[in-house]
Amino acid sequence: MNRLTLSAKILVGFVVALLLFPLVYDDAYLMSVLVLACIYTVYVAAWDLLSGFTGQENFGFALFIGAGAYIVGFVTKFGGGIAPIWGIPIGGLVAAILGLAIGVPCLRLKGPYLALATLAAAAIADRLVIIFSQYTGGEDGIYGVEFLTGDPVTDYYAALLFMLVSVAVLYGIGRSYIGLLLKAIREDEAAAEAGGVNATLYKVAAFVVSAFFGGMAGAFNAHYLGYVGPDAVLASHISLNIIIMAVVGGTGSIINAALGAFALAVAADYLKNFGEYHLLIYTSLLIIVLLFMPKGVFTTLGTRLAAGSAGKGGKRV
Amino acid sequence: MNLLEISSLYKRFGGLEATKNVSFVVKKGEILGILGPNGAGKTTLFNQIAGSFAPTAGKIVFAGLDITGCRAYAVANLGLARTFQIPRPLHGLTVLENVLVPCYSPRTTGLIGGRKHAAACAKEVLRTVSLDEKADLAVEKLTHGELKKLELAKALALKPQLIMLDEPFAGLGVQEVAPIAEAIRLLNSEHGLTVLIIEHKLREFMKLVHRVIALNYGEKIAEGSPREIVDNSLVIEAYLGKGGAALAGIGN
Amino acid sequence: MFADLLIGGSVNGAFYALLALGFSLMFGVARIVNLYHGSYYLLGAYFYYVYSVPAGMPLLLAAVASLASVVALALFLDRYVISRVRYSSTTVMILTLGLASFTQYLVRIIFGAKYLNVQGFVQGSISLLGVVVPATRFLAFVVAVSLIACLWYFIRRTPAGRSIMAVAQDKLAATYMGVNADRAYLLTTAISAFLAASAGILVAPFLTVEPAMWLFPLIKAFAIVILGGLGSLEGSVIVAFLLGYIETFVSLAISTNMRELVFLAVVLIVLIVKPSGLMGKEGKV
Repeated sequence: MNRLTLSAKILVGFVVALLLFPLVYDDAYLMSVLVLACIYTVYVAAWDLLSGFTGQENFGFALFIGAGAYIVGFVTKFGGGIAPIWGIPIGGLVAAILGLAIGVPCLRLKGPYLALATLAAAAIADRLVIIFSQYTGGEDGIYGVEFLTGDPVTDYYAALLFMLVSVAVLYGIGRSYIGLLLKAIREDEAAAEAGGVNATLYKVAAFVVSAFFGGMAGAFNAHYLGYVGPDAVLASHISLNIIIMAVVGGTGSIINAALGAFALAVAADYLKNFGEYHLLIYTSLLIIVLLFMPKGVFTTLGTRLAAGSAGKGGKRV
Repeated sequence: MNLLEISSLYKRFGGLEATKNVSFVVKKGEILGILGPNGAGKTTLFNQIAGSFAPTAGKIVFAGLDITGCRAYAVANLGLARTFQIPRPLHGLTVLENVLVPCYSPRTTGLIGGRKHAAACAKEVLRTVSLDEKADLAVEKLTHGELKKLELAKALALKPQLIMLDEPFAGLGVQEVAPIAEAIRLLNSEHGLTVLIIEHKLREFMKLVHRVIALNYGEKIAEGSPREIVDNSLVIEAYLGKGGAALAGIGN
Repeated sequence: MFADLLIGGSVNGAFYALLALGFSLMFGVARIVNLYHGSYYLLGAYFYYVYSVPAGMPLLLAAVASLASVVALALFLDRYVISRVRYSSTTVMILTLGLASFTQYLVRIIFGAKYLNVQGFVQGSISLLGVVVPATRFLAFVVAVSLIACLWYFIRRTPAGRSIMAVAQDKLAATYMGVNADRAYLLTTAISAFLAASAGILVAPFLTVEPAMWLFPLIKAFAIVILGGLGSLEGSVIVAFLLGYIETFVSLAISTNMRELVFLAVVLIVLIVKPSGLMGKEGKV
């Protein structure tokens, strides 16, 4: 741990700050904002593994989030409830199965075709929830989901822990040989196959793992809010927001996208102070970043920091 | 023994017959060359053997296994590696990372536990093609000659029994060709690597290969030693057209 | 019922075709997926409103002014904004999506979220095959079909149009034959925005005009172009009309709720079964 780069040190400092925060400030509202930021961070980190690494750009990621959330909702509505300790992993598993179901037929699709297919799949789920509202609660959703802990501070630490573990695992996968093979598939699938990589296996695996974490985060969201509804976990603006956060942060490395998500989630809440201009400012930020820092804010920052401290043993993020 | 057996291979794309009834064998330990004018179907032949796409008809047997129609990654993991005519490096990655990809294949480092050896394997392969100094360079910074060497390295990383080289000398100057040709010769003579090679640079090609097959319009038109092929009237005709034999006679 | 289907479907189909064609051209020629396309449709309607109501121009003039404004904006955006990120198709998609969201929020701040009332060129209704059709819809259909016919003529019969098709087929080869590719791009951008804005003006009197109106038509145009085959204009028109008839049928026979579901399901099924669309060559983005 003694040869950390500057970026890594800043990251560690940031995490420590998050851990110590409730002991210093007693701001329940800010805590709730941070919890939501943690949840979004997991969404985006999971998305990055699928879309940033493997290049399978998913424009309807909310499908997996919603699957995880709604399974918790259904068990609550028809089965008498479920504790978070079960709900979260089961949400992940159900979403993972859905990831398999979507990933296999989508193997032949690339670029805009895949974007449209994933967009359509998520939109279909959204519509189905409205149409079968007697089972799903329709637009109003399902209330009464068992709360995480009921206490804001414990909730906060639970969210933090969930985020740190999930991002760490996803980042670990990204840094491992699996991450390299996924990137190879993204760059040139045929060349990767000629190099002995079973592209089909890895592409589907990326879908499944990504969906698993997305579903878990969706279920986590459900338990945190005590509520499941299309606007919270299934709407198209969620899918688009995830893409925006990942691109602004920087795709292809998990960490940069995750940071982008956390930063934007907090910023979005702060921007609410500007009333009706807040969405305008939010989208302007996206446009500016795309035009001037197309690799993503944190990727660019990371490169600059690494270049600045070159010679001290830079570890590439 | 025959490492590779091609029987009556046939491939059609719509109305175009790219490969017509091609049969030949590659003996273990030999360097077999494939000649033919552009459009003769040489790369298409490689693609079918390597698994990029399946032949319309015919059989491909490698090391006793029927690999007709097998997917590219499966063929690679059986020990049949290929390079691409136009190098296909993985952009955004370093030279080392490019070679690590095949080093992580089940064949090279195995499914369980072997992957920690991948980095060492990658560096070793890079040393074989003299690219080890450039291991940490981004692949976009390589010259064309170095990219061709990288292609070779990636194929060798699979620890293949048979390697298919698609125009390894294309686009290279004389000084760049010699070390690669030498590397191939050494791999064959000292490590027993069987080689199937397509090339147009005849001088180096003829010095390297043990046997030659000539293709034209998707068909095999001749087979023999380098000497025999060069004197074969069908081959001459394929390159120089009718009356080419007479042309070829000029200067004898 | 059949007459309802035929007429309703045709009107819808023509409208979708108008939207899809512009989108298809942008992809076929400039090779970019321009998700701002829906916003040209939105702005066509809003500019028309601004020129006709607060500015008080005569309707026809307002329409022309609106078209000119949207085309000017399109050319500006293409030249100064989108061109900067053309190298990455994903970035183009996300940037144009961001611009579209930005436009939506800007429009909402200026005009509010309520539906706008826009005057149509004609009033009343006519009777067609025993079905009563509002005159504005009929006019929309007639104008849309005329525009499509003009486009067809332009593409096939004029040198400028053929140069666009040449660039779409093979940009390098076209430039070797003296075609100015940059001019072809500009022309394509202009035509594409023109068609989308026309659609906005035509339907403004009878469809909802509100800040979020760009999203669903965009998704539909996107889907139509992909299903019809990226790069095939004929495919887009055929699928557009098919969609128009299917939607109308589902609305009449089942319910309007199911309409979108059926559409989405069809999209998904076609993509899985025939990834390159009904008539398309393998679209390389």
